[in-house]
Amino acid sequence: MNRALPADLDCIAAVEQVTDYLEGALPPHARTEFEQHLVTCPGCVTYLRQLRAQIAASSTLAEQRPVPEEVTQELLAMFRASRGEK
Amino acid sequence: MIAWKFFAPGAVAPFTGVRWPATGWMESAAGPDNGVHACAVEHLPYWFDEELWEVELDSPVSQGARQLVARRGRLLVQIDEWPKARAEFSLACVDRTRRRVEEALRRGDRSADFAGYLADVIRRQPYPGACAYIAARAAAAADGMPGHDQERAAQVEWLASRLRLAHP
Amino acid sequence: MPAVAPEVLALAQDSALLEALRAGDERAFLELVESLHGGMVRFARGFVKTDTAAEDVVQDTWAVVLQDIDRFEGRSALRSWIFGILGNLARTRAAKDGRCVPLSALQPDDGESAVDPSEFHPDSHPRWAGHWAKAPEPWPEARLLSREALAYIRDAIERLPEGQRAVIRLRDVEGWTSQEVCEALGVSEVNQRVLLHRARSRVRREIARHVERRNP
Repeated sequence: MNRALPADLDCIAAVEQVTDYLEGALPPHARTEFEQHLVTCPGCVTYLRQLRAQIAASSTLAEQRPVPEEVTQELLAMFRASRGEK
Repeated sequence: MIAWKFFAPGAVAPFTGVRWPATGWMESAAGPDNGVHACAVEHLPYWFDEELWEVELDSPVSQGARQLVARRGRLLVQIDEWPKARAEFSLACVDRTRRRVEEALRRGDRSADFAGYLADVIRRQPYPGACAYIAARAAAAADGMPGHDQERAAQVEWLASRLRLAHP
Repeated sequence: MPAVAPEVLALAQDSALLEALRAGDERAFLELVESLHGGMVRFARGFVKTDTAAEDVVQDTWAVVLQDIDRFEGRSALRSWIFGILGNLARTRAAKDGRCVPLSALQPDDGESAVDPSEFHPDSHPRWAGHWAKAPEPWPEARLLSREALAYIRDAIERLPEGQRAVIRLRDVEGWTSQEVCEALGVSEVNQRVLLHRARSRVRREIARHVERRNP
């Protein structure tokens, strides 16, 4: 028998819980189990770090695209017209 | 209540990333699912990190899954011996696992695969949490739950004795 | 620690903004457009075929917003409401342009695992079934922020199935809260989380391939 200890989380289960963990959506007991798994598992610690780095990198993709001048003018006209209708 | 807690460097709680104040209480967020977590001695081998501190937990203190939970806690004193003892702890896990593997191989009731636990624990020497876990799994594979419990108890005993922690 | 929860703060800012818009405050409107435009075009682009189509759909969205703004009750965040309109228009446009948009796009399909099962020990392993066969290697974080790596991330997001792409764009790229995303896309918390999970896992695999290729 490979799994002598019934309550153990294995890595396959842990990686499926990572998003719930980061979202704070794991109930307290599950969260503790997940954290205890991390203590035993450098691989999953690295996995979690990778995800955090990925999320941080993703957030830099939101470049503020400046609104083209024609678009601004169009929208302004739309806005004036809609307020004028009141 | 006196307890112990592992921290990331700078008394930073390892999972929340919150730094505990040098003096005064660390209050947990409101709500039934929140609290400040720490260890009784028997919980220590399930939670390892760079720093170990003696802490005080304010009553009421409840028992969580292998941890103590309170509304607030505060730092008392850092266990200076821990960084040095860390490597020694892993070595002790390797030692006990080696003896278990030898015994099992001599008994002849475990396959050669069982010896792999020794390779596994040696490979994980830099990580006390992993070593403790592997040693416990090896003990369980050799002698079932009683073996597992005995190994975990040996880990607790080792920590309490080496770090001179008060142990009921 | 903020005194007020972020969602409450956002709604308070929303009602000041709504008042200004309804009163015809052009500067407030332009600021709103400026702050949302890039995200709206990116979001629409996830549904429609071309940049032009995305821009069209964004313009149409503003038209609807201006038409309905007096009736907006503020039960959801303003931008969730706006993106909800945008999503509907984008999907309609995509269908019209011949892009097959399955109704089930926002329902996560079953059985997709976060990590390729071959990265873990099989059940036959004598000691570590279900554990990492080869533990992941730490990524050099500076590498992730290189222009090349960011292009890989952007590409990976673009290639996601529609539902996953919409969620990860709003959460991880635009930084929205899960509540706002659920409101904008009309999905439950649980579904949103599953889509986010799948999306992040797929993007991670792409990054891992890229990083590992450079560090054999």
